[in-house]
Amino acid sequence: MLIDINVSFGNWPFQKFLFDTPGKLERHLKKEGISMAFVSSIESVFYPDPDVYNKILFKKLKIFPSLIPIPIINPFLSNWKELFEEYVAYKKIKTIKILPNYHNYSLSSESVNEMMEKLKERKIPLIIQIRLEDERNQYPLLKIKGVEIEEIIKLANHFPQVPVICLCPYFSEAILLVKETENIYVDISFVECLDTIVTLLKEIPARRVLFGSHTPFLYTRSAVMKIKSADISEKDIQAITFKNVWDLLKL
Amino acid sequence: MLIIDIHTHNILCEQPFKKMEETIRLAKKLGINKLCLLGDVLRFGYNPSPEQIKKINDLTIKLVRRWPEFLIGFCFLNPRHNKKFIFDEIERCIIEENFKGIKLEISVNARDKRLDPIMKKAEELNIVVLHHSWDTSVIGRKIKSGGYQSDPSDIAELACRFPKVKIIMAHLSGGGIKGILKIKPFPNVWVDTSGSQPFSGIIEYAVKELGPERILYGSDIPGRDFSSQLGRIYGAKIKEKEKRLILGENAQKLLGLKC
Repeated sequence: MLIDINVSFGNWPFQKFLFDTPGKLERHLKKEGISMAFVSSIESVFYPDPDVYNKILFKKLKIFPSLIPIPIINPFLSNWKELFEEYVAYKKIKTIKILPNYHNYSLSSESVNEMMEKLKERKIPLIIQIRLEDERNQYPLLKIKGVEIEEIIKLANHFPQVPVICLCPYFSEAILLVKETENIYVDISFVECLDTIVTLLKEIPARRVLFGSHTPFLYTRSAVMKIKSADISEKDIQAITFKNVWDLLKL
Repeated sequence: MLIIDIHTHNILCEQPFKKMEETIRLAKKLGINKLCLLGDVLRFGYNPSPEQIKKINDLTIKLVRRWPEFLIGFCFLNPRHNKKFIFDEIERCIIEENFKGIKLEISVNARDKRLDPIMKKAEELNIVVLHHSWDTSVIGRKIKSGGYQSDPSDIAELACRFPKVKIIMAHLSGGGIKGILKIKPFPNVWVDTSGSQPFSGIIEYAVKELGPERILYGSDIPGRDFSSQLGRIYGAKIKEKEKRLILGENAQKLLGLKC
């Protein structure tokens, strides 16, 4: 079984995606062997109030039980607290996602601390989207750097009770994030080197690694093949492909 | 299915044979039949000396001799060097060791006239030239430590000046959609699929604009992984026949391989 923690739905101005309906996305993921996926709205990245597109996503995914929506929150907007309560009440919501660099704030701000307190209280993990694109492939007039790794480590260590899932770290970043904390988990979508998973597990334990494909930005098959080609124990495969996320999100 | 990886690097390290043995094991596991070795091109920075070039090519020669059925050598050159050294190195690698191509990186820009003797020699010997390329509007043209990036428009200019030389532009993802359009008018330019993360859609676009015959599978290992880079070909929404061309048949024809 494969559970994908890193899937998006919507339009992106710099790529043409093939899966323009949730039905097409679901069929594609099934074909790739992915039985459940956590999905965020791409429009929530740029639209000033992410909630508008979070709600559209909730509605669209309602009839697709294998696609679980993840709302994107911007803790610098005045409505975030009420929305947080609203999302938590919506039983399908298992976690929330933030994009500090696209929404232009620092993780060391008071608003982020407040959000972390709420997550701690509700025992909800946080997802940080470190990046959406490789910085060397961005549109030259829209360069958004990845979230500072040191800032993430500092935040996670300050709130050790809150699991923090980091999406799209590079190989060296993933190792640093896990080694410097007890509560950070990383997905494999941007982690790459020769024999990726075997090499990664020489550095960090499988219990801190999650399967994420970053579909539709990346070819889903690339993440699937990283896992399928890895000479690792069945226990580690299960941990990465579904068990870790299952436990983290209390599925 | 025949799979030839047109873009791999062998690394100068303490145990290069052991490292290559492991690389070949991983490649074979994924059904890859041959690897093109381009050398440890960034080991000595943007401007390697003649001695350093020789050291890089020496290792490629040794590895190809050890695994002649699996490895294909490319001769790494620095166009800043004098003609005699360059021609001697071509003689040593291409004529004596049967390497199949020349690799150029970031020592000079692809428009630089110092490439001319190399290109003329490539034309005379009918061998391919694989040139690094990336979109310089994103990463800049001048490299901080020295050296120059080349982008698809530079490769297009080179192809225009030497229409009889078969050129492989490296890094499909690095050049992006605009890069594909830049080289489209030049039938003597192929593109390899390596570079960056496996961003979706670009293989389909390249097939539509260039035709599948001008696209070559490349991984850029060891910085990348065979699995992930093959995933972009297997995962692309193109015909099976087109995948076969990209994965190996085009490279076989281009390099004149009997396999």
